[in-house]
Amino acid sequence: MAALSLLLWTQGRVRAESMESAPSPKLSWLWLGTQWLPSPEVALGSEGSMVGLRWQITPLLYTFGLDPRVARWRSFIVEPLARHAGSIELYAAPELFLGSDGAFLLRPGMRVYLPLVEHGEALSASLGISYQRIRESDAAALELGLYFLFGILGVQVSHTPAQRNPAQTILTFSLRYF
Amino acid sequence: MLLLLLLTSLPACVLTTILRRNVVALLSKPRRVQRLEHVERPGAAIALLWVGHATMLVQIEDRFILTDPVFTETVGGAFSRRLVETGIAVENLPALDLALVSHMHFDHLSLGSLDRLESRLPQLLLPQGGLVYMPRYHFAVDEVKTWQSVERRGLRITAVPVRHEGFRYGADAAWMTTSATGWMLQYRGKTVYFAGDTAYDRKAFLATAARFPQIDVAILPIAPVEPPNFARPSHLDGREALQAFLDLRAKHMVPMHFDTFAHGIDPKGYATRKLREAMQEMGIDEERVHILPIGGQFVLPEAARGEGPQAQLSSPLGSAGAAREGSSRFSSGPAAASVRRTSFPSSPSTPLR
Repeated sequence: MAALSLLLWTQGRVRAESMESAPSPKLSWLWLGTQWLPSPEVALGSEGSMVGLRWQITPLLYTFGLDPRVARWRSFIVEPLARHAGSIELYAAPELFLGSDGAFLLRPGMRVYLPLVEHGEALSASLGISYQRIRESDAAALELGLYFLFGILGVQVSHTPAQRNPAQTILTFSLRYF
Repeated sequence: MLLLLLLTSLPACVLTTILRRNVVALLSKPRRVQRLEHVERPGAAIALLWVGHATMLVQIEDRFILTDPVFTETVGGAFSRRLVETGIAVENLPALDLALVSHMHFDHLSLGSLDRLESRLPQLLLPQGGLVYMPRYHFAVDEVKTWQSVERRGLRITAVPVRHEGFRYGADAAWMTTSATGWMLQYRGKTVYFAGDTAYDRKAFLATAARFPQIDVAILPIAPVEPPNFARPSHLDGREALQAFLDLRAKHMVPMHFDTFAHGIDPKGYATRKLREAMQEMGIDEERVHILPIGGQFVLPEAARGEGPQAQLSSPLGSAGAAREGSSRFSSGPAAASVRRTSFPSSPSTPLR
């Protein structure tokens, strides 16, 4: 938590190429509060179906859709346009599957966002790859996503071709603000 | 705007009303307007065509400037659909010299609209800090700090202070404090003020008037009016707009930012009714305040400019349509007629409320 706090505090420094006058993102209670909002999901796999919750953080993102004079790098706090106008994101997603056979999954991955309508603010898509480990089962997963309303709402489907995986296909209703 | 509404602790009934109005708008077609066949006014000193909301096509002699260009059918991530179609189609716009964006809210900075304008727009000016909200475009994009000026083809554009928020998504309010501005447009001795969106800020308006003592036309927002606790901290109602108009010592006022989107709970015609009531109470001559319908045009002929509030309004609906829209004086002829003379107050204003 201390490391996360330090990263949050210093994240503006990643914007090394930033324009002289460009204001840098700052940590705010609103942003912090919304990061706790989970995305509901359903996993289908070798043990049947499980309902779960997913959180997401972005340690690092490179945006390529903004005006070239604007800083390309973001860390943790990412404006919707910087993400959905076109970017490559390194992310980490803690996931909690509920029920008596509940499980915890930490998914690190990388995702590319591509704008589809109004530079991604109205509609964008993502393509990603991630590593998942759940109940001693390791796998690589492919992921597709579609996002609306500045990325606040979205649908993600991740699938791993590995056999006997308890979370082979995961459908996530993405709720994400910043 | 939706986020803004959600993030401001609005009473549930107000939020419900706004959401309901937007859902109804999403399911309905925007009301059609009859558009002018010719929007260019040769020989006019100044002509303003209201495209809708804060979008004005400003002609100063042979120069054309668009303010807060919004031509999409929806704003705010396709959530809020326009109630009335635009007063001019993008393909019928004259050759533009500039576009100006006052701030980053979705009803003022529309990326989809800029996409449509991309091939016909040479330059876009933004307030300080606005560049982080801009994708890559082929036209030039420049930030302008408050009181800083930019010159292009004889046009001089100055960023002037207003009181409004500059953020776009909500959480960015924590750091995006500078990206809201008004604009002053000057060309060959003519001056047009565009407020964008602003609350009443007497100090800012008087400071602007001190630097620009000869404002021909002030374009001022008059809505949302209700609910006051939501609207007043960042918006002008009719009375406040009139006070700003007096503070600015402008010769004419053209109201905007009403009856285009369902961004408040004001019913259609409410903002202009409040404006007219305030005009009567404040004793402001109808010859100075020109309420346009969307697609209507205010024309200030060169001959009328120096003598006071002589102007004419053009409506594609003619005088009948103008009457329906509630304007006091309309004609559909060329920009030559003048109305009557009145004198201007020598002092800036009377105190507000």
